[in-house]
Amino acid sequence: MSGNAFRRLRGDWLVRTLQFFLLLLAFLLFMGISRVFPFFPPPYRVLSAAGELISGGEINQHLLVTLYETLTGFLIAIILGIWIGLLLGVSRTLALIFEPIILSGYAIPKIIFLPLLMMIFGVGLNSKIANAALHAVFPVILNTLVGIREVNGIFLKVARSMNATRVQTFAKVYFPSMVPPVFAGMRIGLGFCFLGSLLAELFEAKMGLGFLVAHFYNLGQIAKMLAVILLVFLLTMMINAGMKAIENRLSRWRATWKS
Amino acid sequence: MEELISVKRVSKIFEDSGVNTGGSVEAVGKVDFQVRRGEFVSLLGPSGCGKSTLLDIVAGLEPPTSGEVLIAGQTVKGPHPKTAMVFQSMSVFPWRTALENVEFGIELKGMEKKARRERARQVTQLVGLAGFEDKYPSQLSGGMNQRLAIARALALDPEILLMDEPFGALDEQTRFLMGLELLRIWEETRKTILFVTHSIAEAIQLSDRVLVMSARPSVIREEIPILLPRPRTIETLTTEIATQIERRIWDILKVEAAKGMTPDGR
Amino acid sequence: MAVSERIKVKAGQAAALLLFLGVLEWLVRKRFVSVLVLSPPSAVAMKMLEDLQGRELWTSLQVTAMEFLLAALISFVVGSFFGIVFFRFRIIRSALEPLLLAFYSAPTILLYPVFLTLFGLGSPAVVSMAVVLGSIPIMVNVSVGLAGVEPIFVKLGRSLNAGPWLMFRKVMLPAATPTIFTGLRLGFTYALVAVIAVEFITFSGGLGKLVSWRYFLFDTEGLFSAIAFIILIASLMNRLLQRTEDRIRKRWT
Repeated sequence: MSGNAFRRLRGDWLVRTLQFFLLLLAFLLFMGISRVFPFFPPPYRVLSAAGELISGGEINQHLLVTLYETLTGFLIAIILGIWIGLLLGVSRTLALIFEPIILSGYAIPKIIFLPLLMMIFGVGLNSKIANAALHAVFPVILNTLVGIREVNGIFLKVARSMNATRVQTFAKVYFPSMVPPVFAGMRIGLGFCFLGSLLAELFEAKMGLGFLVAHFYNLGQIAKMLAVILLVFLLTMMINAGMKAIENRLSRWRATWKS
Repeated sequence: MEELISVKRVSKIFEDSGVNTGGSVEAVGKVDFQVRRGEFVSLLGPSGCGKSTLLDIVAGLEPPTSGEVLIAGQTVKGPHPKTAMVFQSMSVFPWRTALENVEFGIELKGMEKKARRERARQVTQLVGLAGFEDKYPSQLSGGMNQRLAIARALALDPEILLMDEPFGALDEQTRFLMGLELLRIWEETRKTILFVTHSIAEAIQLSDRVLVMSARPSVIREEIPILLPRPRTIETLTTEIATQIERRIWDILKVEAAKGMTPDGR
Repeated sequence: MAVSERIKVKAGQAAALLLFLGVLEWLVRKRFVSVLVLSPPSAVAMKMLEDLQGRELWTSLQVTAMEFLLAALISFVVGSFFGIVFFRFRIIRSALEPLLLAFYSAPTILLYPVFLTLFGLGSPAVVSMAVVLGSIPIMVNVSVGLAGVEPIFVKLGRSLNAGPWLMFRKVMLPAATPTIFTGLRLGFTYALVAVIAVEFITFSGGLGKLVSWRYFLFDTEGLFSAIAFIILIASLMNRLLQRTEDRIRKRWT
């Protein structure tokens, strides 16, 4: 086997071992913390609580509520976001004026708008959906904007040299070119939607995964609370992996392309 | 032989081309030349001299500031159906397979699917890429992708090929081989080719005539017929005559290229 | 961008803002939107002036500022430390890479109840959460920045027989500064967002708590005022950081 491949294989194995030890370390740390801090449960209790929640079905309702909020917010965010992104991408004037504003959206803790949303949409699910959409709309707008902007000028010249109509140019050059960045924006947006729903539920809600976390905290059932948090992270990872897989399939042609 | 391309007193001035130059840029001075049917003519000049702009004007992608271009007697007002262009850098679409890329032009024209596929296959074979139809550009080499670009242009069956330094991004050896490939395709299809390059060797290897251009604002300094026999092989290209031609062109270009090394290019 | 163009853009933004506020004002005045839901910008402006003269805003600002500065400082130290460790020991970086990537895509701020449990309600929990969120961009950018130093510079340093400390100070660090500074900007921005967000949700203090407090008290004008102040402060800090980064980049490239 060539020198590089051998080194890489050995390196991989080393990394895996290291990861294992780090995981062990984290586990021990976790256990140590539970000894020092009275309210903090040891890891096995968290895991068993997680198991209980799933098998007992206690979590199902709440999971569905949060997913509903997330997906609805997501739908709104992509419709709004892509539309605005296209608008800004097409008009240089609008982009010059509004792009800095959109960019600074990342620096502002958007959760503070939640009370506003609650006054407008009420205390129920709609305010959570609105919050999710608000969080997600920014990456979608920016990625769409960048997607249009970064369409290779040479490609447009090719289309022009062949007398392509505007519709043809959009459908056959702009659109395929924009799929990877727009989809990436959607992937990030979905994550933000999830976050937005959870935070809104944590603030004030009657149902949902965020509500469950607050609920268990208030009851002092910390093991269950941590279990829900753990499950949320696992869920995020699964959704992300799924989106990434779709994204890779759509961008199959990218490979080592340098434009 | 009739004049297929007629360039008459064409000049190009770019107004307000940006904050840096602060004012207009005269890319092309007064240029006049003709290309006869079936000829291979090169526009040779130092980098940045405006030869690409001139080609864009012939292609109908840029309007001339003065003068006009006639193709088969018709004034050029936009991309002319008798012409097809091959570009400088990677211009094939990465999201389409090789075959789909070749189809692009005829797809725009509305050729129906089966005929399109068939035609695209033929041309793909012509440029020597048979068997690679389903590969993506990212899986192909630079030379192969440029051949795709040529195939895409040929699929439209144009009478004229306008080529803007198509082999510029390739290394020297690949360039030479691609040149041979191009000559083979040219001889098979009998197209008229207007070829832009900054490489003297390339111009001599490929053309019937070389139009040597000056630095900005571009004008034609001299027209040099390449009276070397075809097919052009290593042997014919390293003869005494070939070397003389090269020396003569270099003498003209030396002055022009030096102008590009001073800050204001004058 | 030419000065005249920049002025036009600023004017355009000001115009857009005024238009937006004007529409809101009009909507409330004409009773299309209830005053309970939307305070007219004129009233909010008045309330903002009141707040500036009062005490509540300043005390809250003080709390948030202290939490933020502490979080920023600790993030800087922790981030730089681990960044250098990751750079020196590639294998640790490879091992932790999936975890770092996860932080970017996961709702990391959801970890705040952990800190609540550990430290109880109040500033320590807020600061801890902000440090977690703020140190990661710094970590990543420090290690990437150092690793991304042009090999030719490293070669140059070596050929001049520079010792490791000198190499670091005179070659690696300067070359990596733009990337590192971007990391600082991101890290500090995330830290501020985290501070205010956790203050808001946990009701612990500072500007975040001011917002939720006024919401629950039905002080609509006060609510808008608090939100406006937060927007102003966050935007200001972001602008400052961005300007500095742009200036660094301009000088460095």
